[in-house]
Formats: sequence, structure tokens, C-alpha cells
Amino acid sequence: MSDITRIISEVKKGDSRATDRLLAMVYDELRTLAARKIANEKPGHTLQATALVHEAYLRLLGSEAGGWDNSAYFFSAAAEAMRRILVESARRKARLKHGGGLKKREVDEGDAITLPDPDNLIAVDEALERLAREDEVKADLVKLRYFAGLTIEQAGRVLGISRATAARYWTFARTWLFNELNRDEERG
Amino acid sequence: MSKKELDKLENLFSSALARETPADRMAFLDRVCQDDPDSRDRVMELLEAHDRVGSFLETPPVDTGAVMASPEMDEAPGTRIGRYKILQKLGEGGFGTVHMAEQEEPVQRKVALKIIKLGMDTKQVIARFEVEQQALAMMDHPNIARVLDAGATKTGRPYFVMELVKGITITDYCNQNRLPLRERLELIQPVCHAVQHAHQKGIIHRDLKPNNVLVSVHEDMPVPKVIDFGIAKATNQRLTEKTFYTEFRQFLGTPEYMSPDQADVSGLDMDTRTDIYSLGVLLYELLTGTTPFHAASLRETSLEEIRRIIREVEPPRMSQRLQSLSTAKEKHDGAMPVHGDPQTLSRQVRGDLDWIAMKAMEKDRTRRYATAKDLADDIERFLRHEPVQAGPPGMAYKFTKFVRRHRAAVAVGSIVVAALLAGLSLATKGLVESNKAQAVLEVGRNAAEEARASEEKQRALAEAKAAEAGREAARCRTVSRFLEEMLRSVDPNKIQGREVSMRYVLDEAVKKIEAGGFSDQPEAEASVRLALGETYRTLGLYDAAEGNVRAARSIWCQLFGEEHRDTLRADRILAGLLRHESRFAEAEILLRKTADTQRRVLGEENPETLITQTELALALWGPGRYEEAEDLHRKILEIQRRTIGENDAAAVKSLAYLGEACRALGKTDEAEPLLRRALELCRQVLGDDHPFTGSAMNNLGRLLEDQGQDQQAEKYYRRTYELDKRVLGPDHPDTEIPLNNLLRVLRSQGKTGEIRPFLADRLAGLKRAAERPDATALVLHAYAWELLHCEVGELQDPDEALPLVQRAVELRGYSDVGIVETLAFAYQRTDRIDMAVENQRRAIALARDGGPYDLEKMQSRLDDLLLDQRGVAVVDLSWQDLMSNVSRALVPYTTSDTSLILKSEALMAAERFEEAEEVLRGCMALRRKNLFEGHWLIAETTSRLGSAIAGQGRFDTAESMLLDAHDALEKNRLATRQIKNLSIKRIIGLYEAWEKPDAVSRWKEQLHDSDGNANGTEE
Repeated sequence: MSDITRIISEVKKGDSRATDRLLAMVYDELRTLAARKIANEKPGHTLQATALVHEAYLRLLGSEAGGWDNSAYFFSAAAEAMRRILVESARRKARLKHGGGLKKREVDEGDAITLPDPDNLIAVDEALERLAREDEVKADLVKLRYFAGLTIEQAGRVLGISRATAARYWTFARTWLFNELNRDEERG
Repeated sequence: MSKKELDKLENLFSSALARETPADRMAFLDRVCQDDPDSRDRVMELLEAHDRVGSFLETPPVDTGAVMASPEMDEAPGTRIGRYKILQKLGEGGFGTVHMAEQEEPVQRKVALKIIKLGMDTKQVIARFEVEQQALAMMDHPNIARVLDAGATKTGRPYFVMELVKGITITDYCNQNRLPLRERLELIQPVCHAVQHAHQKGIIHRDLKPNNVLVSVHEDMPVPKVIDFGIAKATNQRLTEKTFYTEFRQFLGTPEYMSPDQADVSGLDMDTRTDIYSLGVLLYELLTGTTPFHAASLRETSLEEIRRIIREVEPPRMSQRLQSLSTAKEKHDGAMPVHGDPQTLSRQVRGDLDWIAMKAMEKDRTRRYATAKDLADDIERFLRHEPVQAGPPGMAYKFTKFVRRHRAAVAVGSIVVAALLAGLSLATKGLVESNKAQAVLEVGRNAAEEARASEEKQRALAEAKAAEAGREAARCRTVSRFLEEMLRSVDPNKIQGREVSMRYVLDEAVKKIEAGGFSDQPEAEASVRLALGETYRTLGLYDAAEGNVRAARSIWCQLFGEEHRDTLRADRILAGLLRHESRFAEAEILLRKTADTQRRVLGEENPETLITQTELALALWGPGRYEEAEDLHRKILEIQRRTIGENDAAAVKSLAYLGEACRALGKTDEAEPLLRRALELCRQVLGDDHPFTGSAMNNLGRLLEDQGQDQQAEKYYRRTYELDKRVLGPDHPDTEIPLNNLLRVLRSQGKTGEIRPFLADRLAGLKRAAERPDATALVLHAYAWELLHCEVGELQDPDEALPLVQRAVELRGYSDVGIVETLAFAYQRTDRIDMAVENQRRAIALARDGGPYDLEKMQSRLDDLLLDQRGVAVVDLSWQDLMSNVSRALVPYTTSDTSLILKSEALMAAERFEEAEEVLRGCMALRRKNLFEGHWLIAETTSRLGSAIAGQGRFDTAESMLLDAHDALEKNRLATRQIKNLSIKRIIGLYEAWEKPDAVSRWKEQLHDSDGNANGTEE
């Protein structure tokens, strides 16, 4: 039994520290993978966030995926981890963009992944946080779709809801977030 | 908000979304959220957001899927790919690796094998290559490496096989051998010829760059060879918005050589001129050692920015670049040319070579060399010290460039751009020339006197002239500085995403002038004002145009007086604007006065005088005085033919006007040859795309329509509409003309199936116009009218129409009959009958004050509404109301059966039974004509008729009619209880008058009974 399946089984038992450990593990794995990509690829090449998640999945769970159950935990953690990586990177970029200055910065894992406009990503994330405060399932659905690249069906399975419900939630959550962003803009 | 609330919101939202139409959604929400307006509003907001949500969040934050591309096993030396054996790797490019390979059959030879990276659709790549292969096979040029074969590796990666060129890139060759300028130029010439050869075979390279131009040495002579022909096309997917981001870097590698046509995501139609651009870049690089845009700076920026740079930024001229290379700062770049001292090189390339490279690298491909051979020829001319074809940019050129750069931002059709340019050059070059010409004329006129004048006097004159020339030059400088500034103000970088329209640019310019930009140079101000005025006019913004032209005129008038040619020209333009605004009388007065003065001051046959006369003739069209106009056009045309010839634009226009005047006068036979000839000349002289050519087509269409040849007319209208839409833009007032004509002929031909797209265009145009904050009541009304009345039911939208008319009424007050009536109709269509009645009454009251209104129709509409409002139980109408109907009925109207019914009711109430009978018989005839015999309305009319006859004491006849009618109504399922009861009441009325109390009570029971039934059992 690999570390990750052990951690996942602890998560299943309801150990909240295990949840954090799982997240940290996936997070580190994703960062490591991204960093290696930067080192190996020619500059200018960019990665696909979702491809990265899937590669991490193969590496961490690999042959002993242990059924869909385990994957669900992995993808939840991966979506969250990827969200953090991207948002952190976006924040750094936004700081540079707004703060100006040509200070040389360290190589950034997020650099390897092309982001939409960093400001936009941050705004999406903030709206997503508001959504999460009100309805975690819908927010998680968005994370799984948007950050981990799962299909509606897959995301639904991770969250234990039917495909139809997942599709409905997705439409709603997307619209809700879109509307929030527009409101933000209107508020200036 | 809690989860519960959010869930509720989601539930409502999803359920509403499941409803098909917006109206259904509204209705649903209104129903379920009766007590919860907050939720309703929230969901409405979300539904609106949903309309715009697009693909938001649908695509994860990703870029290329090329992560996994790693060297593959199938590329190792010794591996066999098809008929080829890999020998060694030669290099790695942006889109794959190149190997030296050995072909074993049919001939043994060494070839270059290029394996494309994974991530492309192999099948498509090979299919595209096969399409190209035939053409490729026909290429036979010593400076082109042939592409021999293509296929797929076992792992599915596409590969290409090419003639193996043992050489180094052209840039490396030049630098390693420190080739001097001349030899570099001589080396690029065969490259141009090779590209020319390919172009003649229909093959575009699309990826010309030093890496694709290899130089090998044969017998001490360098031979350049262009490689990869046909490959870019096969591997290059179209740069749509989607693929641009994902595949840009991967497949096109370096953007330094990419033409603006390629960089433009919308411009997918690449042609041979994209290669000309790349040749220009190659030339630039060979002569300066650097690409026009720094590779490093391009790589650091975003893709969007790269595209912008390629499309908009003018690179420094070669001489400038070399100059800046000589400064210490850039020496560290390692980009120093090796073939000489930058200072010296800069002097050598300044001028001709600068222009040659610039012409090849023009952003607008129509301004580039038309062929690669032309480029080679110009280089040849330079080498022979002959004058080159390329030349320095002039003022107009710079403006064109500006507008082109900002075409996306300056969202207008090309003709508007042309108009601005015309306006601008008028303000600078044109004016200078016309003033000069005038000066020359005056000089000639005064020559005799001057000759006699003393030497001293002459010197004074010369000095005065010099002073004038100096002033003129200063004016020109001011004007151009201002214009440049104005143009620069729309730099997209400065505007930061705000939508920029031409209107905005012009308005900003006016503001600047009004803030005192020209306080000390009134002449310059007048020139600019006139240019702005002309441009506003071309955009159809007549108010703004008028203000500026008036300002220009008053300046000229102050400076030079009433009769100066500039003042007069401003007068004419002003009058033209009045005409455009349909102020024909004012226009005519001003034009007659101006033409008189011009005849006196400039002469009868002066072009300016003639233009004013033409404008005058056009002003006569407005009030329909075509005969006078025809004479005038004829006279003008005669002079123009004599002085400037038939092929001059002004004469062509006169001919077209004459034809149209004849057509309008109904002289079809005379008009036809004129209009046809005019169209032909327009095409020749003005070009197919000129809006005036469009109006010539439109007018010919009108003629054909007059002759009943709707189908032919339709063809011309269609073409005109397409042209105007493209050239003037869909918003331009002139574009409406052919559209409306087209709609008319389509309608008259009954081609309702084809009408839809044009109707949709018209609605879209009206919508755009109505959405503008300054939309007038007329525009709002026109849009609402179409939404209510257009014949394609799906395009109708009463809900949208109502607020539009309401706004129109707000703007106008209740003063315009048409608008108020449309308001009534909009209320009717949205089921607010009371409001509809109120407004229809208002409209009728207004119409009575006079005007070309069809009172009968309006009245019958009101009657329909009243019936709608009160059901058939018009008995509720007060007697006064009915009487007022009767008095109105003195105007004989017969249009609507309901109005006849109302009229009969009024007559019945007034006990004028004979008249009532007559009216009802008329109504019966109408209903018989329009309805089928068994229709309940016919029985109902019979019942009424019976009542009217009973009123006259003809009880027998009345009885049988009333009973028959009642029978028929009772049997009819569509007749309501109310109708049936009314018919019973009439029977009761008859028996009462006939004094048959038994029958009265029997029928009264029936009435009671049926009422009871109706209430009790709910039939």
C-alpha cells in the first residue's frame, strides 16, 4: 500500500489531518511535476493544467488506483491543489504587473502553465470562495471541472451526485460566478 | 444567503431555464414567485447572465497539450520509416526534427526527413499535403528543394521527405563569409525568383525564414535553396482564435517572420503576398543583422501583444536600426552586423533600400510588391543605380496607415475611412494646391499689369507672395500637426479597451478645437473644421457636420469675405447638409444664392459652380420638382462633357442624376439608356465598390421595378445592399435605401421565404439605432413598428416593442399620430386593452386635427379594440359614446364589420331602425364574403338584423329570422353563452313589442335557465 492510498484510507476514516496531508502531498507532486517540466522543456512551451493533474494521478495512484473511491479523493485534492497553485501564481503575476518593477524573480511553477489574465483568475477564485461559503458542493464541482479538468460525469461521481444534477449545478454555478464577476466589475 | 436559499435559487433558475422562451420563463417566475419578488429578481438577473455566459469556465486554464512531446524511439538512427532509413539527426525545429535518411528505392539517394511533432492530426496533415502534392511536383527550380514524399510513422506522426540540401542558413552563410552589402543583395535575388516560381505554380510557402533558406556552394558560387515548400500549408492549421493560442508557438516557431495577414486571426485568407512580407523581413535581417522586431522582445510578451505588434507597429527603418546599433547600448546584444560599420551601412541603406524593405513589409498587403519578381526587380534597379519603384511615404500615406492600423478600433466601413482621408488631405494637400492654383490664375490675370509695373513694385509683390507662402506653410504645418495628434489620440493603448468609434475620434477632435487649439490660426481651424464636417457627413451624422461646416464658414467669411471661394464652398456643403436633412426649401435658397455668386466670381463653367448647381438640382428632387431638376442636370452635363469629358467622376454623376430624374418623371424609355450607361461608367470611373456605383445600381433597380420587372430589380437591389453594407456599414442611413427597396420587391413577388434574412437585417439595424443613447423618437418608433408588424412572425416581439414606443412617446409627447397609434397597438398586443383603447382614442383625436391620416382605418381599429375590451356585449356602451360613433359614421366607412356592428348598435339605440337594418345588411354581406356560411357570426348578424326589422314593426319576418338565428347559435359550440343570451334577449324584445306575453315569459325562463346552466354546470 502506497503512502497515498494509506492517507486516503485515513481520510475515509474521518481523520481531518489526513485530508490536509493528502492535499499537501498532491500539491507537492503537482509542483514537482511542473518544475521538472520547466527544466526539461524549451522555454515557450507551456503545460496543460489538466494534463498535469492526470500525470500526477498516474504517478501517485498508478497501478493501485484502488477503485473509483480512491480516485475521487485524489481528484478532490488535486482540484484544490491545482487551484492553489494557479491562484498563487496569478497573485504573484498580478503583483508584478501592478507593482511594476523589473526585479528578477525566481522560476515559478505557475509560469509553466499558461494562465488566463491573472486578475481574472483571482476574481474567479474570490467569487468561487463566496460560492463555497454558501454551497460547498457547487463550488467543489466548479473546482473539479475547471481546475482538474474532469468531465461533468466524472465530477458528479466524485461528489456523489447524478449526472443530470451535476449538469444542472454546473450551469447554475457557472452563471452565478459569471454574474458575480460582472457585479464586481460594475461595482468597479 | 444560506445553502437553502441558494438551492432554492438554483431550483428556480433551472426550472425557468427549462422553459423555452423568455416569455415562458417570465410567466413561470411571475407565477411561482408571487410572494417572493426578491428571488424573482435574483433569478431574472441570473437568467440574463446566462444569456451572456458563453463558454465562461468551460475551458480549464490551459495551454498547449504538447507537454508530453519527448524524443520518440522511432527517430533513432537505423530506424526505418517507410522507404527511408534514418542516418542521423540534422536538427530540431519548431515543429519537429529533421534527419538525414537514405532512400533505397526506386533510386538510392540521401534525403532529408522531417518528422512533425505529435499533437497534430496526422490524417489531416497528410490529406492537406496530398492536395498540395500535385502542385509541388510541378515545381522545378534550381533554388527550391523539392518535397518528395510524405507519410506517417508507426506512432502516427506525419513526416515529409525532401531533397537533401547540404548547406547552412542564409544568414549564417552571409555572416560567416562576411558578405558585403552588394553580395547579400545578389544572394536574396534568386530566393525571390524561387518564391516567384512557386507562386506561379500556386504554392505559397507561408514560413519563409533564414532556417528555410539554405545556402550551399557549387563551384565557388553560393546557391540558396528554399526548403519546406508545401509543408507549412499542410501542417499549418488555420489560425482561428482557438488554435492560435494553442498552436502558435508550437508550429510557427518564431513570430519574427510572420506577416500581419498571418497574425490576424480574422484574416484567414493568406495569399502570395504573405511570402513577400517574409522576404522583406529576410532582406531586413540580411542587411541589418537583426529582424525588424527583436526576437527577444517578441518572446517575452503575450501572444495577443505579439499579434498587435505584427499588425500595428511600424518597425524602424533599416537605416535607423543600424544607426541605433552603433550606439553603445545595443552593442551588447551581439546583434552587430558583421559586414561593415553600422554607421556606414546605415548611410548605404538609407533611402532606396529602406523603401524597398518597407514596401515589402507593408502591413497592408495591397501596398506590398505585387510579386516576388517585382521585389527582385527593385533590388536589381538599386544595384544598377536606377530609380526604384518603392518610395517614401507621403502625408496621405501616413494617414492611410494610421487608419488601417486602427481599423479594428475605428469600426467603420472602408469608404468612411476613405472619406476621412479625403477630408484630411483636403485640409492639407488639397487646399494648398487649390490655393496655389488660384494664385497662379491671379498671377496670369495680372501678368500684363505686372509687366508694366516698376521693378520695385515687383519686388514688393514677390515679397508679399513669399510672406503668403510662408503663412500657408505654417497653416499646413498646424493642420497636419493637429490631425496627427487627433489620430494619435485613438491609439488603442491610450484608450484602454474603451470602444472607439470614428465618432469618438471626431468628437474628441472638435472638443480640442473648441478648447482653443487654433486660437491664433483661424485659417487652419477652418480647414480642419471643414474636413471634420465632411467626415461627419459621410458618417451620416448631419447635426455634427453642420456645426463644423458653419464654424469653418464663419471663419472664412471673416477672413476673406462673403464671396471668397472657400466661403462659397462651405455654403454649398452646408446646403448639401440641409438637403440631407430634408430641409429642401432652405437648401434651395442658399444654393441659388451661392451658385449666383460663384457664377459671377468663378465663372459659369468652373467645376465648383457646377457642383453647386448639381447640389441645387438635387435639392429640387426633395419636393418632387424633377422637371426643373432634369433641365438643370442636362445643362450641367453638357458643360461637363465639353470641359472635363464624359469620363470625369463629376460628369458620370451628372449622367446618373439625369437618368434618375427622368425615371422619377416616369420617362422610363428615356431613363433606361441613361441609367445603364451611368452604371457602366460608374464601374469604370469610380470602381465597383464605390457607394455611388451602388446608388446607380439601386436606381436602375428602381427603373426596372417601375417597368414591372421585379425579379431584375431585385438583383440590383441585392447587389447594392451588399455593397452598401460592406462599404458604408450596416448603420449608415444610405444602406437602408436598398434594403427597403429589396424588402419591397421581395414582398411584391411574394417571396416571403427569402425575406427573412433581410428583415432580420433591418430589425438588427433598427435595434442598433434604437440602442444608441441619442436614438430619436422616429428611430424608436420605426423599430417598434417593425417588431409589431413585420411579416415573419418569429421576428415580431411586442414585449420588446412596448417600452420602445413608450420611450418614443416620452421624447415626443403625445403629438405624433403614428407613434401614439403604435403605442395603442403595442398595448393591444401585450394584452393591455384598456391602455390600448385610451391611446387609440388619443391618436384619433390627434388625427382629427388634420394630416394625411386614414381616419376610417383608425376608427375601425378602435372599434376592434372596444369589442375586444367589452366582449360582444357592446350594450354596455353609453349612449353618448355610441352617438359620437354615429356622428363620426357620417364619414361613410365600410372597412370593418365590427365598426358596422357598432354603427348599427348606435342606430338601434337611437331607434333609427331602418338605417340600422341597412348597415346590418352591409355587415352581413361583408361577413358572408369573408366567412363561411355556418359561422356563428353570420347567425349573430341575422339575429341583430331581426331586431332591426322588429323595430320597424315587421314582426313576422323578424320572428323567423330571430328564431332561426337563435337555433343556429344554440347549435354552435363556438358561440358563447353571452352571445346566445343576447339573441334570446332580442327575441324577448320582439315578443314584448308584438305584445305576446306568453312567449315573453317562456323565453325569459329560457334566459334564466341558460344563465343558471351557465353558472351551474360550467359547460
